[in-house]
Amino acid sequence: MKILGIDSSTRICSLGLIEEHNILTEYNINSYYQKTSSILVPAIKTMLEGVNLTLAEIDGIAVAIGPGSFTGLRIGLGVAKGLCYATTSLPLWGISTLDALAYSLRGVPSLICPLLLSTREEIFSAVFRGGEDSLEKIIDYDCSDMDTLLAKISFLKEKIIFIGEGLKKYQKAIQERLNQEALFIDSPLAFPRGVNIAFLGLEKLQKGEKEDIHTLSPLYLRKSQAEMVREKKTTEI
Amino acid sequence: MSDLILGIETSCDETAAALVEDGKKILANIVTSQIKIHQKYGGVVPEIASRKHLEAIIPVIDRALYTSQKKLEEVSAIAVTYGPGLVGSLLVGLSVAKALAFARSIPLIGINHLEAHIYANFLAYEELVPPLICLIVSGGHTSLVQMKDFGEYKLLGQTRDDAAGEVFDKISKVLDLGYPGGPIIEKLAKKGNPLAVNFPRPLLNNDKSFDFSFSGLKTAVIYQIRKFKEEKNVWKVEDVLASFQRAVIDVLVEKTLNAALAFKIKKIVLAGGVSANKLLRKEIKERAKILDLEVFYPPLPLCTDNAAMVASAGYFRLKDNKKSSLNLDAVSRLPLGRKKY
Ligand SMILES: [Zn+2]
Repeated sequence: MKILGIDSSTRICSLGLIEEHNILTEYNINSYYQKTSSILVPAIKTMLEGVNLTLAEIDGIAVAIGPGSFTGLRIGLGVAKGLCYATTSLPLWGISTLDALAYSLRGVPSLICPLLLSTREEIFSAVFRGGEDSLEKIIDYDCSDMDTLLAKISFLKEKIIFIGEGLKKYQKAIQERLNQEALFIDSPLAFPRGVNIAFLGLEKLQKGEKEDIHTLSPLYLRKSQAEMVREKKTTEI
Repeated sequence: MSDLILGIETSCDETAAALVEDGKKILANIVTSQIKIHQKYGGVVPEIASRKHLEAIIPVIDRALYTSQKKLEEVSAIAVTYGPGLVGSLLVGLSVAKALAFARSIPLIGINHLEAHIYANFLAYEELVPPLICLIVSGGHTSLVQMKDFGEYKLLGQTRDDAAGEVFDKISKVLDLGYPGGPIIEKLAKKGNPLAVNFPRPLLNNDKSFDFSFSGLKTAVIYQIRKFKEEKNVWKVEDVLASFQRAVIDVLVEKTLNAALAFKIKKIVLAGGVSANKLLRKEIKERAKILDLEVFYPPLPLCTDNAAMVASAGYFRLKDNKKSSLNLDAVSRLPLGRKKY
């Protein structure tokens, strides 16, 4: 089973192609030099050519549904939907970027808290319990400020590993606040990687799950600014 | 063999897909509008528009293929709007289009939205050929373009501030009439006296350029509305609206006719949402007749944003062997033709 994984939720556009438990090829491009919308489809093309495969030889596509950059996610989902629609038999799976981040620590028996920085002072988060062969989500995906997140975590009183890019600026605040041991993985590799998306897609394939390409939408976790302003107005009246 | 083009359009608040054969024959033209959603906000909210496009895009393409009884395998090229427009919205259509073109190994053709509007006329009039003077006027644009030949454009002028349709929307919002403002104001204006208030005709007198400016007129209308309200006069909103509409139409008609005369072009085409305005159509047709000029405008469903016009433009581009690369990006302020400033 060959699965293509696509993530465009952060400034690193990440693609991965796996076959069972092997990585066939991985492709990470920082959109700093070229915009995600420009590079995504050519990158998929180059990547497939690199391993001498065509789209027809792939068994499914797994795509990041967020949380993350709204525009980036829509580019990834638009491309993934288009590819699956044009190759009618190709199944599509939507994978959370936070699951993909936590997947990098698969096999580590600890609490794992993947973090993705949102555009404002907010962060996207979730908490997983890592087992030998499993990752169980124990606190659901959320978009909040750091204080709110820490309040939720502090009662867990277990060792917790934070993973995500750009954590440095929060490290001190987190450590001061928590009554538990906290470790930080803030490496250039701590982003939702395309191969992780693909491996999580493979899990869904094995469970017989499949998304409807017509309705699959990003996990926004936050309403648009206009909706929030409007709701605020109506509740004030 | 005929060429079947799949057109995709997501530049503003309409998600559209169409199948057009040989640039002229519409097999399917599917448009889903988000108007009802944006009405609550009195205008298009970009983030909401992008979200809705992503939900609608595959169902709309699917329906276009189903309606035309065609399969994606029969499509010869994908034509897609890549600007001007809301960048987040454009990216949805563009991403899907690129994926389809890559997966099917068929050409991708990026189309300028303004150019596409002009092609609505080629869909409607079999015999129509350039050279043409084109007035493209909607909620997003007000441009006067000289089309010398297929694919050859010169931008003569455009609005320096608000688009004409945008002013209709804003005045409608001030009066709490609803969104979009064009059709609502047109209906009310029918019952009003267009000579009641003498609004300014911006950039009309002593201005040799083909540019437009509507923000001054907008301010004057809004000021008038406030004044009437404060003075508690017996005033008819219909009179203000009729006078406003009259002022907009006067400017649009005059500038367009001047352009046709200046460049000695006999044929004028109207395009865009505002070209659905009946008074504008009537006015320009009557005045053009006196000057021995001919005026064309698309049927109503082709005036507003749709993908058939994109597919038609794509066909002519394909015939010209001009394809886009898969790294084509959305351009929110994509110009059509060149302009000095
Ligand atoms: Zn338009």
